[in-house]
Amino acid sequence: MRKLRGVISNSILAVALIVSVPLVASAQPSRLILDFPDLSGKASETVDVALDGSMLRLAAGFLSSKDADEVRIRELVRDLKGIYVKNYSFDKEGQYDPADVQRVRAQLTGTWQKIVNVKSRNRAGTSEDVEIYLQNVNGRIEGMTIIASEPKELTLVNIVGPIDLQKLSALEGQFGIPEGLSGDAPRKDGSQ
Amino acid sequence: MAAVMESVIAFGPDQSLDSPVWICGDFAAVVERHERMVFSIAMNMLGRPSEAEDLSQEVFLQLYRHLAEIESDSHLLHWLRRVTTNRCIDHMRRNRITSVSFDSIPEPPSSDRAPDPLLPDTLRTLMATLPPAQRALLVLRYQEELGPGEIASVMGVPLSTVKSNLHRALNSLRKKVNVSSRRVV
Amino acid sequence: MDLEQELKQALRRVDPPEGFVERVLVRIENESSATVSQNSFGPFPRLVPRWVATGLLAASIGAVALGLGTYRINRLAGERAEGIRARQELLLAVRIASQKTNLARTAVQKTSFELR
Repeated sequence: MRKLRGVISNSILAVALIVSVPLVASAQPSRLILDFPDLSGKASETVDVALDGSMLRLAAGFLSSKDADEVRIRELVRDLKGIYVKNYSFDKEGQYDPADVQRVRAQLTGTWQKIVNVKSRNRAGTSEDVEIYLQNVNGRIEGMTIIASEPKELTLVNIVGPIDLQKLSALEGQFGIPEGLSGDAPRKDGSQ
Repeated sequence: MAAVMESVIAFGPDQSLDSPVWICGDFAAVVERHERMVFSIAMNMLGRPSEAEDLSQEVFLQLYRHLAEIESDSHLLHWLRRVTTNRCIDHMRRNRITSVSFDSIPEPPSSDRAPDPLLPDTLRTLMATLPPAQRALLVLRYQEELGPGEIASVMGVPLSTVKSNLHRALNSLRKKVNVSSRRVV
Repeated sequence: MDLEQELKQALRRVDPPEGFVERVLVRIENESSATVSQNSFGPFPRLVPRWVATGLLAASIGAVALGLGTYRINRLAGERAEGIRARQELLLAVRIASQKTNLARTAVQKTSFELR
């Protein structure tokens, strides 16, 4: 009888765990805290894009329906709830603390999974590390985070909502934005 | 009015027609999206840029006052074509912009086979000799590429009238082109 | 000569002069002010001569209308500017995200090719 009771209580525990997993999963935030006030002060250039759902819809309304790339972008962001990007460029190496990056990684637990970690080196010998995380909630991609770190540059991207990674990477350099981050970038160094 | 604008006008500047999703935008974006069509209708009917611009502005002013009546994107397009065409016809009748001297028509080249770079100008000038309603028909047919049924709906006239007037306008224009060619040869 | 084809060519759409949209907005603003200041204002207490009352009320309505008109046009221009800025930010954000994912994808593809 005691054995039976133990089986039952174990089963209840198992059921409770199974039931609680989706609850925990859905509670995991897709939007991360990407706030580094110290870095903005040290960076020679800062790009800060914060588009929530309503701003995304507004922006999508101003995309061209004649330009094939902008049509693809509109399609890509249709169901997104937010896009947040921070890009810091520094004059010298070692101006950002790896602990800052670690603060972002610390948020990527639970339903977040690291799918890629690339350490590359370009011809000039500069290293660039790219980590890509996807948030998988009940088999659905609900978010993406990119951490790209170079000695003089740190980029953090947080996309909230279902995103197609393949379509996103296929867009690179395709939609008429000048190379480099000048021009359209909402810079905070007053150089705009 | 401001509240009306917020609820009715919800286009981006460049969305495809009849898009089921009306995304937040503003009246300026609506003007920007349709300015080319409205101005071109006015320009092709009146022939004078300053008058065409003035009339086009009035069309958009009228649209601003009647925003609450606009039900959809295709309705907006139809409304703009109708109002612009009617205003142009009224304007021409009031100002009697009907007669153009043949001396002012550019001379076409003598060879029939060679492409004629002046022909578009010649046609526009010859069109100015047609009655206002026939001019409107040609603009809706060849600028906006509307079918006779759509033209009838925009101009508020029977389909048979559109067909017969279109036929008449083309014949008239063809004769004028031939006459102007013979004068040069 | 194909007359219909030539007509299509001759009557193709053309761009309006530069600044057309802005001029339309200015006319809307002017008209909004004028329309409101022309409105009748109903019964007015006969404590002051009617022409004084009319003048005062017309002046205040005119001032309010002018303010409202300016506010409306400013708001329209503001909404439009916000939309254009949001579009630029979106293009920039997608470009950065795309660049980084593409870098990772290329590196992964290169590695798997080298492992073969």
